[in-house]
Amino acid sequence: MYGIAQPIAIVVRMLAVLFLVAATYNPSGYSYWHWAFRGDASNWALKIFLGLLIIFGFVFCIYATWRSMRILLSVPLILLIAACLWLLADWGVLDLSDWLQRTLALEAALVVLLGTGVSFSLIRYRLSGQLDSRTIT
Amino acid sequence: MTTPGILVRTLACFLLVFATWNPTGYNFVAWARHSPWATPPEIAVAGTLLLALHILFLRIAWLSLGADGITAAIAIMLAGGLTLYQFDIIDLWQSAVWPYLLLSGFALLLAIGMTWSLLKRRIVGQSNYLGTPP
Repeated sequence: MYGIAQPIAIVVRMLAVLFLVAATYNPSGYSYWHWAFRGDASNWALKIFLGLLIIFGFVFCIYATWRSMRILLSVPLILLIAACLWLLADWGVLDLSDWLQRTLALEAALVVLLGTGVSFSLIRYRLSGQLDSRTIT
Repeated sequence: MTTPGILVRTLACFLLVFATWNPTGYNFVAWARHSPWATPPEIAVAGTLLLALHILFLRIAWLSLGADGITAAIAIMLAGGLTLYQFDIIDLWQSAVWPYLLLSGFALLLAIGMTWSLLKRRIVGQSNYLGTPP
């Protein structure tokens, strides 16, 4: 049923955010960034259209993250992600002096942050029964 | 909120907008003005029904999107229209296209407004709540 944070639902949201982030920019050279700003000026209307959709996607994710976690949980989550990256670097799994690995690690961190934010109202509802709602009248 | 639910709402918005007025001559305005069989009470009933539906849909869209959301939706639709023009799917220099474009844009805006609260609740679990029913 909708409104219940099942594990698969969180995975799907994470994958959707991963798609958004990776489609906007990734180090392989095939991304919206490279297509729109590093190529020629062809298809400019389509580039504007997709650019607006990408901006909308990010605003949507950031707004949902901010609404569901605010400062009280988003800052600890950012610290936790940073600590995890530090731990991985300390173990030698991740080489942060390497541009490629650093870029990928930052993108993964962004995906985890926004993915958690997008899912967090649902997680909180399942965890505690506290429904996130906004009064619009 | 399912895919058929979105489609039905979108279809209803298009139906409402195009039933009120469209360039073909088969619509409420043309019927009320030119049909020899339209009696005043019939026009009154149909007209108030359409008016009530327009107010309902517009109010829902306004509450769910707000000024920011409507601006964003219009900007994205403008860019989408420009894209269709660039790919030669529509010809903006042909004046007959414009009424359909504007009506479709308006209907799409209503459809986005109708579905947005449901979509948002389904995607991120954040509900819009009416303090006092408007």
